[in-house]
Amino acid sequence: MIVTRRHTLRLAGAAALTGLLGRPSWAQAAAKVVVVGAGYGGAACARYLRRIAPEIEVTLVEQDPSFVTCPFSNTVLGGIGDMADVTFGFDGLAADGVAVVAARVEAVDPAARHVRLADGSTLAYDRLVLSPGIDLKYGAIANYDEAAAEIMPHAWKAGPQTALLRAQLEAMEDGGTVIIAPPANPFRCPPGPYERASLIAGYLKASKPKSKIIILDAKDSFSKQSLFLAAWEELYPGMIQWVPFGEGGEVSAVDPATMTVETLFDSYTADVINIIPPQRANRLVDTADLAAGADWCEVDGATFESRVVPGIHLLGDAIISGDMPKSGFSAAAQGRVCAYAVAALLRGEAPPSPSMINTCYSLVAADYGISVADVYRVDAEGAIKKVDGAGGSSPLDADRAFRRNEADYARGQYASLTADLFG
Amino acid sequence: MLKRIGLRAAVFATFAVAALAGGQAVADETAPGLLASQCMACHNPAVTTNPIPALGSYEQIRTMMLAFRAGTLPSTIMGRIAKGYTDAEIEALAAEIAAWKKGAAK
Repeated sequence: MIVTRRHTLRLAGAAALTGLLGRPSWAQAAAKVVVVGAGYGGAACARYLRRIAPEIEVTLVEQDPSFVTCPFSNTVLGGIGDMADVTFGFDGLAADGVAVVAARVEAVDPAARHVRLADGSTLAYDRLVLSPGIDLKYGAIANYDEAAAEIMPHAWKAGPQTALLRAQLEAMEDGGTVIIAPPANPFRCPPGPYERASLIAGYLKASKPKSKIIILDAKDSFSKQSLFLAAWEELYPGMIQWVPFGEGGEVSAVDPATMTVETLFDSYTADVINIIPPQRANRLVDTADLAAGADWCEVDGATFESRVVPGIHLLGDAIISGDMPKSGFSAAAQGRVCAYAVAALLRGEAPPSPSMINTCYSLVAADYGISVADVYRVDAEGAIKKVDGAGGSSPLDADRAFRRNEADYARGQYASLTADLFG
Repeated sequence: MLKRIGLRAAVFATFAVAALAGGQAVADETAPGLLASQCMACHNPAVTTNPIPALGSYEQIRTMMLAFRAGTLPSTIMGRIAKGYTDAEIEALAAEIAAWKKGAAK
């Protein structure tokens, strides 16, 4: 279909008219949007929907009384942040007119257009937004199950697991060994395991300087790799050993009783073991077959509507997001775009073309930050693509003032984004 | 001022083009509000102690974005981000953010 400029204007007029006619009047019931999951994606979508389309009723369903962010949870592990600093309630969302429902969603029923809660009650929707996050694939590493995670924490869903891993690090004696085992791609927060190694190394260097960290990796390269490796050489020389997949880094089995992990060539015993297992979309998506038998859900990147079930939008770590990484910042960027798309669709208008940014800061130390940033558009097939010529990582040759600035900006961004979503 | 309104109107007018993006017809241009919403993740004016600078007037935002993009204004990250935007988008997001600030000040 070729659209000329003349057609464009005529279509624009037609859509504007449809928009007016399609908008619910006071006599009609308000359009209902149900958002599931009050993390970065869900909170952003719910809040921006209220701001840009106050005529829409927005209900946000969240099973936990507060949200503990994975971003900045590594500062807790490194002893430069507290759990309270990374925990947010939902009063700000409620004050904006979002109906916050504390419940667990058991199932999605697209035919009935409702979600079923744990107590058997249902919430009807005109459009549904799911930002359900990840499930860990227990069993993918032999013997690594929920019981094993109480001894070898994943700490990849922030909360009690974060506190557990921090307590283990505090209890470890000087001269101990810490293993961090990141999974293959794709997984939540690609630079996260390496920021984690950095901030734990910072804690050990100050408090237990004879200790060391071994990263047993299921891949051969990682996000911001050259920046991390150079920073480790400078700040923590000899403390962090990275074993890539090609040198037998992938963990295939664990034995919590002996605190041992098995790789292809070797077995390692350590005092603290952080297993970050392979992941998939939260299993809630399976109740409506939204992943179609795969690990992640396919969406149209222009609207974040499911490719499988119309009327259901998906955000964040649970989706295949093209060039965008699985980050909290990405989820929030997607949540804002989804809010504009859902508002337009409910008004009978064409959704605006998306424009998104992702910026991931990592702290290598409290005064040493690095970043990767990109700008994204969506192509004609609905795939999310980086804008060519823009974006990229911090320069390798930057001085310490630049790194200090980026550490300050990392904290500023965290404060800014969490205030935008939860403040 | 007239020029600013003209530019915003131009971006608005091209919203509703039925481009075929994976099934859902979407506009061929983004909405100024959606463009500007992406800036708020870091430049949230509600955080008064933010080391990330607050956004200024239309003229400041526009001039700085163009200079970041050209590389004539040094930055840690804004040069990388500004390169992702066209002139029209920079004008649209600068106008939108300036309008929000005026609204908030009332």
